[in-house]
Order: sequence, then structure tokens, then C-alpha cells
Amino acid sequence: MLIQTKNLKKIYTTEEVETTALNAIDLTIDQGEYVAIMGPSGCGKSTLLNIIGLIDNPSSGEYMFLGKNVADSSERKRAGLRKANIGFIFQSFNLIDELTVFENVELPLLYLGTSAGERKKRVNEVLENMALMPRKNHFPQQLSGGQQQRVAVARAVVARPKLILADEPTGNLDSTHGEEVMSLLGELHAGGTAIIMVTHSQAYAEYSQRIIYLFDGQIVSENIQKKFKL
Amino acid sequence: MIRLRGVTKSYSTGYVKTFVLRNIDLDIAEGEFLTVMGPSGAGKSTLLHILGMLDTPSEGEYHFDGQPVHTFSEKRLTEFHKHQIGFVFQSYHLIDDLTVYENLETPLLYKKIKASERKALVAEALDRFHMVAKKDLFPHQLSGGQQQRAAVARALITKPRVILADEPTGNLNSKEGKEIMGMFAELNAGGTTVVQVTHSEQNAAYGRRTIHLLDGWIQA
Repeated sequence: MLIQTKNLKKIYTTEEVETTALNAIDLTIDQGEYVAIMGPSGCGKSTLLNIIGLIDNPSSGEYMFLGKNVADSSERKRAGLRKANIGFIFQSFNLIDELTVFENVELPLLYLGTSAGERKKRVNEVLENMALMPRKNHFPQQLSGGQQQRVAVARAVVARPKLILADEPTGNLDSTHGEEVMSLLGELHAGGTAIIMVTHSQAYAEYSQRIIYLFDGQIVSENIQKKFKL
Repeated sequence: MIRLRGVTKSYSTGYVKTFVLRNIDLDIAEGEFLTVMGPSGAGKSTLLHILGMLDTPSEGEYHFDGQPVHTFSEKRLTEFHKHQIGFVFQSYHLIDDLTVYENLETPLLYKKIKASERKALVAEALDRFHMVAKKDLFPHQLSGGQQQRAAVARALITKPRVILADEPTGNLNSKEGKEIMGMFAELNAGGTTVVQVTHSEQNAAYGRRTIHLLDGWIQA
């Protein structure tokens, strides 16, 4: 088992109001599973993804990641788990404009303390796989949106994480580049990586094995794909 | 410091040649605060990208500190860009799974800077941009203005000589916009050259000189 949440809640409190962003989420995700999360804007999808990705805390409830209860772990512990096990892909690519393509992809390995030689080897390998070698010395602003998202995917996978979290990864792309990112995710899943993807697109959600529907912070239904596309 | 002569940028599609910039002559002295204005499609962003060495002119000459940038190889352009230029964009481009501290630190990880000095530089930037209390937060836990402050702090942490800002307050409310502009003014007072592209007359007022672009031409 990769992830298990029990009665997970997230409540935002401002001076006057309490907003329940997530309510009693019970969710189990296995190693290597490919899950899509759908639901209208404001239903809690991104909050759930942030909590799963250990970049946000639940207000209450249990969260087990790789068998460890992490709901109340210190930031240092969570950072260690996050950097070693999770790769992130965001709608807005999240590349650093001051860094070249090579350096952007290298970043997760720097945080893991990987040796310089090994870093170079791994980054070149992943750039080769993603057909980005001719771009390795370019800056993000010199690339098209599709290329930027390929760089973001390369960065997410370079440390060979067990889990990829993708928040609307195709949201800023046209359909050709959207398909391209989806097929990259499909390949990663085929290679054994678990993927949790938030999407608005029913068509893209159907690439997954299981679709979870959120509404008002609650899981309202689940749909196990009979035959998932790859 | 910066000298453009006869800089033209054009794209050919089939038989049609589209001009984005036409015959631009422009001098920017060290320590200037220059504003570039003009309607959408006038060539403002292209000009900024050429100044920042992210794009190259189709014709013309670009000298930076007397060096002929227009003859540089791609590798040399990359190096030059990294050491001289800080770019600030309208959208924030922070990395959502890194804390504010880590986001600021990233450009330093690629330079041969000792850990202790890196720490000092990040601490100084956090202090200058009033982000000390936010250093362990993630971008989604910040307001838009705070995110842009962090992005500006990161763009400037390597102490570039030139700041190129493309609509830096475009996504901010007026109070947050003022804050960012105030920071540019402060950096400029300390000797950093600033070139900004903006639609806002208020932002232009922070600069000491304004040029107007229209259809790729500098208006007299």
C-alpha cells in the first residue's frame, strides 16, 4: 500500500468563517496505481493533492504514506519523504526561469545529494528519453508550452519517484501536446510508477485505472475503469 | 552599458515576412530606469527578450559593455544571460513543491557558492523582501503579492546588473503592485539598471525615461 487516509479533514479558518475544504476522506492507493481525481472547481481536488504530496497539512485525520503516519510529522521528515518519493507536475509547469533546461531537471537530484557524475548521467538520460537534448542549454522562456511541460515531466521523474502527482498537467496545453503528456504518464505507469492526476477532462481521466469524484470536499463516487487505455 | 543599432526582428512564414521590431537604435546607461510602453503586439516583449539574450535579432548589432552580443554563440549567450540579467515575469513561476526558502536558494545551487554563503544570501533576500516569516511556507500558502515578491527575490538573489521586468505587476492588486515597484526603485537607487515593460502610467512614473513602441518602431 502506498497511501491510506482515514477521516481526513481540512478546515480553513478566517476571522469569521470556517470553510471545510476536505471532509472525511477515506482513500487507499496502491503502489503503481493510476488514479484520476475529478470534480468541479473548489471541490478540494488540489487541496487533497497538496496533502497527499506533503506540501499541506490535514486539520485532522490519519495519513499513512508508505506505512508511516505523516499527518503530524515535522516538516523536515515530510521533506525527506517528499523529495525521495514524490515527483510533481503542475498546470503552470513550475520551471525556474533563471535556470537552463538541464539545471531545471537536475534540481531534485541536487536536493537528494546525488553525486555530480550520477546527476549528469541521469539528467542526460531523461532528456534523451523526452527528446529534449537539443534544448538542454535553453531557458524555459525560449521553449513552447508543450516543451516546457515535457521539461517539467522530466524533472518530476528524474529522481525515479514511487509516486507522480499531476495537477491539471494538460490545462495549459493544446490537444496535441496534451496527448503527448498523457502518453508520457502512461509510459511511467507502465514502468511501475503510481500516478495521481487531478483533471477536468473526462477523456484524460479515462487513461487512469480508477476515477475518484470529489464534490464539496467529499468523495461522492468512484469508478474503476474496466479497460484502461495506455 | 547597452547599445542596440539597427536591430530588426522578423519572422518568415511562406512568402510573408512579419516584422516585430524594426531598425531599433537604443542606448541604456548603467543605473538607468527605463520604461517601454506601447500597445499589445508592438514588440515590447520581443525587445525585452533580445535585451535579456533569450532571443536574437534577425539583423543589427547588440553591444553589452562594449562586447558584440550579436556575434556570441548560444553557449556564451547562456552564460552572459546568467551572470548579468535578472528577469521578472508577470506570472510567478515558483516551484510549488519547494518552500519559499528553497525557491530563493535554487539559482545559487548552480554556482560555486559555499553553503554558509548561500545561507547568508538567502537570509539577506528574505529580509529585504520582507519574507522572513514566510520562509518555510509553500507557494500555495502565500497571497499573489507574496508569491510575486518571492519570485522577484529569486530573480535578484544572484545580484544581476540588469533587471528586465515584463509587466511585473500585471497579476497584482494596486497595493501589491506598488510594493513591487517600490522594490525596483530601491534596487535602482542602489545602482541596478532596470528596464520594465508596462501598460500602466503609474508604473512608468517610477522610471526616469520612457520609450514608446508602435508596430515595431520606436516612436520619436
